[in-house]
Amino acid sequence: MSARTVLLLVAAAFGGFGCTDVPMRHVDPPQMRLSSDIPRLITIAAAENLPHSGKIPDKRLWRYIGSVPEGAVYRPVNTTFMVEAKHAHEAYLVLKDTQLVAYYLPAEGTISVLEAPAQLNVTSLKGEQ
Amino acid sequence: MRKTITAAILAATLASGCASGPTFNEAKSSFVATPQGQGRIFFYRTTVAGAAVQPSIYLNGDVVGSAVPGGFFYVDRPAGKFEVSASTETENKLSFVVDPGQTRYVRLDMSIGLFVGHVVPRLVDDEQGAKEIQETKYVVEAPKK
Repeated sequence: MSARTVLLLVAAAFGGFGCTDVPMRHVDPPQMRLSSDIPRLITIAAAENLPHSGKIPDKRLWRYIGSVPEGAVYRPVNTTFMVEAKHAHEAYLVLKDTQLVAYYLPAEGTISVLEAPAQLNVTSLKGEQ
Repeated sequence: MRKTITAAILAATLASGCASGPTFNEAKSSFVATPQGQGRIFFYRTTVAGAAVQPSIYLNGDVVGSAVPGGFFYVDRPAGKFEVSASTETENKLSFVVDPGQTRYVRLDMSIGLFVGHVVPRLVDDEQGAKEIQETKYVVEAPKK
């Protein structure tokens, strides 16, 4: 193995060489829907090991901010949710019923659809707005 | 003796690279109110490791400060979308949004690099950021270009 190969391998290990970013595509901003099927405020039980290093802290509040074709978009209340690959992105959750189906990246105006939906333990706070 | 000299040199090197301004609590009374329609972004670095590495911090492509160990600074910007990056060998970007009147905290973490360490910006929860930043000192000098 040449010295150059070794250097490239070390670079790959330490520098994130070849690491790709969160896959995403542009989407129209979430549109508010008045359907009573969509809870306005929810809590979600802790969930770790979500795609792109997503970690949901236990029982934090999430507020509905609108919908995209893939589902309802929830933004954390007074907290931060991030997803990360090559770069780190603030993200909101896109839920279809109680399944996490995608991330909405507000700074990019993009959506990152998950390869496989993740089941979440969601509690609707009825009557809360 | 040699160990003592080495330790002294190391301590001097680390100390010379750290923030020396007022603490967050001492400085906060001098902060101006966030202008109407704008948000405030705090940048801070708690780690002293890799003290010699103090890259410029970019916000939407403009230099806004440096990642000084144990230091913090802030900027007020019109609400909107932001991207933070640091000028190190590996570019790690952070993207987030700021609402009018909102305060956000970006912690500048150190990560192992191939030749030198590099700074990784991370957005942290308000509560965590407000707590951690109290351990840091205000960096008031003009940012490096």
